[in-house]
Amino acid sequence: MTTTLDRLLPLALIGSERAPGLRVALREAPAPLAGLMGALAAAPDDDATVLLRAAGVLATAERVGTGAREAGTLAESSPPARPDARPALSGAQGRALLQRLLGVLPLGLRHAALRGLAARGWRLPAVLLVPMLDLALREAALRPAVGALIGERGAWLVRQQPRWRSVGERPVQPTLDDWAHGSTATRLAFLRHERHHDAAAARTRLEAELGQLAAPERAELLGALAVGLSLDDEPLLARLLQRDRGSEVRAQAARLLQRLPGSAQVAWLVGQWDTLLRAESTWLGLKQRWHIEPPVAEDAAWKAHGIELQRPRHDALGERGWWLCQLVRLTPLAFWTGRTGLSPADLIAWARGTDWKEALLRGWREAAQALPESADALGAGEVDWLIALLAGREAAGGSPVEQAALRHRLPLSARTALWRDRLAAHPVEVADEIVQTCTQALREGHDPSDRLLDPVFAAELMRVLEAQWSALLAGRLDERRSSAWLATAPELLAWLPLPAWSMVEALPPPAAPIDATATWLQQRRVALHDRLQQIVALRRAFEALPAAPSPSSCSGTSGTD
Amino acid sequence: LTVEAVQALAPDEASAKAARGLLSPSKWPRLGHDDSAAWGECQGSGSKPYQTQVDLSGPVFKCSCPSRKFPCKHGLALLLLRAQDPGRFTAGEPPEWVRAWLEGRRERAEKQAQKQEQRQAVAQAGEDTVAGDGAGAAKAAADNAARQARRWQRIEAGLQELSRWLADRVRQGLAAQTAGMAGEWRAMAARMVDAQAGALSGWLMAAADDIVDAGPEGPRRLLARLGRLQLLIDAVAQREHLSEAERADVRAMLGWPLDRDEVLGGGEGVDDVWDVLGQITEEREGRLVERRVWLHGRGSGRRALLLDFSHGTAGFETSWLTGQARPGRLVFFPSAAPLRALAVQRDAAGVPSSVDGIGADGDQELDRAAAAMAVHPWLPLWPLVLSGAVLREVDGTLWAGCGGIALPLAVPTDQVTTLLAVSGGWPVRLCGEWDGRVLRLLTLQGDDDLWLLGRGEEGAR
Repeated sequence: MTTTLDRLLPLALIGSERAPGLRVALREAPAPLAGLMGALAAAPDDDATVLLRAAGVLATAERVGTGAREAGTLAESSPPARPDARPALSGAQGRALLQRLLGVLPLGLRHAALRGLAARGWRLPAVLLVPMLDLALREAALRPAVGALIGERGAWLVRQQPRWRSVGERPVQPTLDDWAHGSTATRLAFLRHERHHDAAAARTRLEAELGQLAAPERAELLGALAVGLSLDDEPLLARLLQRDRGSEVRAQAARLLQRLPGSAQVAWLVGQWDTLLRAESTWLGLKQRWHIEPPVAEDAAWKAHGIELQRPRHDALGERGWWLCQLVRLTPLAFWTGRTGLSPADLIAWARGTDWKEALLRGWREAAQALPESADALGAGEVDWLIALLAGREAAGGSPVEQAALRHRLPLSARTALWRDRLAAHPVEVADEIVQTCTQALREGHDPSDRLLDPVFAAELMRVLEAQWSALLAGRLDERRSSAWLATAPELLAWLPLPAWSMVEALPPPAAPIDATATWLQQRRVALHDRLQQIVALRRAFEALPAAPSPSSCSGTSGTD
Repeated sequence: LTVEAVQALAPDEASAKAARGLLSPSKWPRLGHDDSAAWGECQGSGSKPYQTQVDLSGPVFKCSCPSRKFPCKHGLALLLLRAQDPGRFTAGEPPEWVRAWLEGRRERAEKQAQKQEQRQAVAQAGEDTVAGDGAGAAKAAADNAARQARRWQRIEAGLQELSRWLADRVRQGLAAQTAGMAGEWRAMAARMVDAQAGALSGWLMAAADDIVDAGPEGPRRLLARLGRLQLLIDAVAQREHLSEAERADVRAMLGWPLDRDEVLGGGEGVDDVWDVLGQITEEREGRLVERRVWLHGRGSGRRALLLDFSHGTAGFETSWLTGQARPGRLVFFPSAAPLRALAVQRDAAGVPSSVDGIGADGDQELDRAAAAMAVHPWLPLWPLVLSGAVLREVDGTLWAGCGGIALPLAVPTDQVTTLLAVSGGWPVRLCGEWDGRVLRLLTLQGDDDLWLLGRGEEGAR
């Protein structure tokens, strides 16, 4: 629709002295401004001024609704959100509490608070949906907890914002789309998922893809075969072990074959030990004594079975030791107990008495790293191996990282037993592992809140923590351990059950540093005390929240003051 | 005071954030409050703690810290603590330093009230004796009139020059006004300051921007702007034929508003309970900060604007909180469409707001705005209150559909999704500033959440 102002615009742009037609345009102006425009057209002033004046009147007239549109001309909006049965925690106090959850906090605290809210029948208020959904997007372990609190309003919002889909739809089912376009981690998740219900299809899919992948991706995706591993996978694994050019791919294939007792690889290894591991009867013939003898020369067949011929320079092992260590590494741990009839602990004791102790222990530790990562998939014999390799002070050697990785494979009860052994001497390390265990459980979709810690151990832990933290705050702990606690203590506290809260509240505050000469550590101590108190206060605040009024007894709105 | 209300008092986001960082117990060795005030000692970087106190009737802040911001982070933190965790405050008699300050404030308020009464009495007396022996008053009035006449003449001379200059531009064609000629427009803008019509320099600078950075709508916008400027030039020439109220509007548009005493003397006073519809603080040039508080009179149905300016980080008087109401008297600036007002007598405490009943559909609200803009063609903003508005997002723009009409909303981009969440696709009540093109959203009331501009953003961090 052309308005009178639109007709005046070209005249003003070209210039009133060059463009005629001003007065005509004004006389032709439609109602309701026809009279006014007609009067302006008759005015004696010069064209330029009349044009501006008319433009002013027209601009004023159309101004009030310039930006408005007829509602019908806009695209249809989606239907509104279904009403929520649960009330939102939307009072000012409640909202302030929720706001605090968005700050920098330990994962465990956020999780416990969110679960507590859901358990009391609340949902998140609409104003906090966006930041909470964003939080869940950053922190995948919180997705189920946040997803349980977003209510109908949140689900409605998620439907309109694809980026949050992973929060709203749980559990996440990887799709073919993820396989086609996803990151390596996403593709791995898809493959693992497919392995659960169609192992052969997933293997074929992976096999077809291998040619286009770089070695690190090949190795990572190959890991998916651990799900539903069977002898059907052997041909592919054997081929990769022999021919793949990536050493990490060959190592991954070897680790998987090791879990297949019926595979040719395992049979070959068992055959090797026939000559290398011999039992000698003692002269009375009542007892057996085991002898180990590493290979004396390279064997051309080794390479095809995943043995690296090239010993790394500076390796602590000699050449024969290196060969022995690799044969041990590739052999299933179960072989040793089966062949010798000795328990893992006895085997370790035996190894210590041989000339090849370093090679054997290192080989076993590495073989243990090839065990399935989830404790549920371990056999009893394998658990015994892990305990034997870990129990006793530095029993089987290995770096702390390596040991932690082994402990991580243990079932919780065994892990707890190890924590108890080490608690007095290595409290911060044990605390770190507890935090990792809880975090891992959450990532795997379990709620680690209370039942993770055995009550007897929890009581012991509390005593040690009280002593440690009092000493720390009083400045009686050395600097190395103090700094370690600074990061670990708040994280751990977030996972601990109720008795820990009163223990923390009773901790004496450190003397406030009064001047600029206070050391970094003094200042950090004050900050740590504050932080611990804040965490307890926040947990108590969430614990003190009342249950939501049941939907039937309330109209669904709580005060917004 | 709720946590949100306290955060809304912060002069800027940095202060609010700093205040949130001061909430730990070790920072506040002493905290106390009674019915009228809250106080505390906050451990800063020095050895002596800061003494922070808040008169809750305002709230009015005082702190011994050297910060130039007002209220400072300590005052905000004190109120945040009180909102979040009142159990940490000991109830009781205020210490000496608090008592002294509160008493001082009370005395000053009383003196001010006395002065106000005296001034009113004098004004009353002046009116009574205007025909009598008030020779001094009569002379002052005559001086004032002469001064005003001289200023009108200067303005008129300046505006005639502007009119001729504008007509020249239009005669040659606005298309010929290229970016290179923006300098001439800026020179003309400077001339308007000399002619004591400073506000017009802003119009011409904006026009210069239209020329330099003309989008597809630029030429049309420029023509509309110059047209409305021409109407103002005409109005100055015709000022003898205008009503007192219209003349006041013209003066305000020239940057020559009535001063406070003139308004209090001649403006219309309205007693009512004033609900705060929303507010906005914007930074202008040269560290000047402008705050607009929009009010709705519960009994009178009148809408009002409290317009305040502050320099740098000085902050504003903090007693108008969105979502609350205050009984009291407003005196409106004389205008054909009275909107801007001054608050007098605002000692009464705030009461909870109740704005459920107000607001209408888009048509009716636009009619109201149209009526105001018809009698005051240069009115920059009008507050719209839409009830039953449905939000929808179209290509990144949020629209409020309301009674057959849809208005585009101006909101911070990171808040679009939050606003959708608060509405849930259901009808909501919202309030904003309408400039004819977009509705700057100030508040939105969903079924159980109230969204306020300038708040809630911190949730995203």
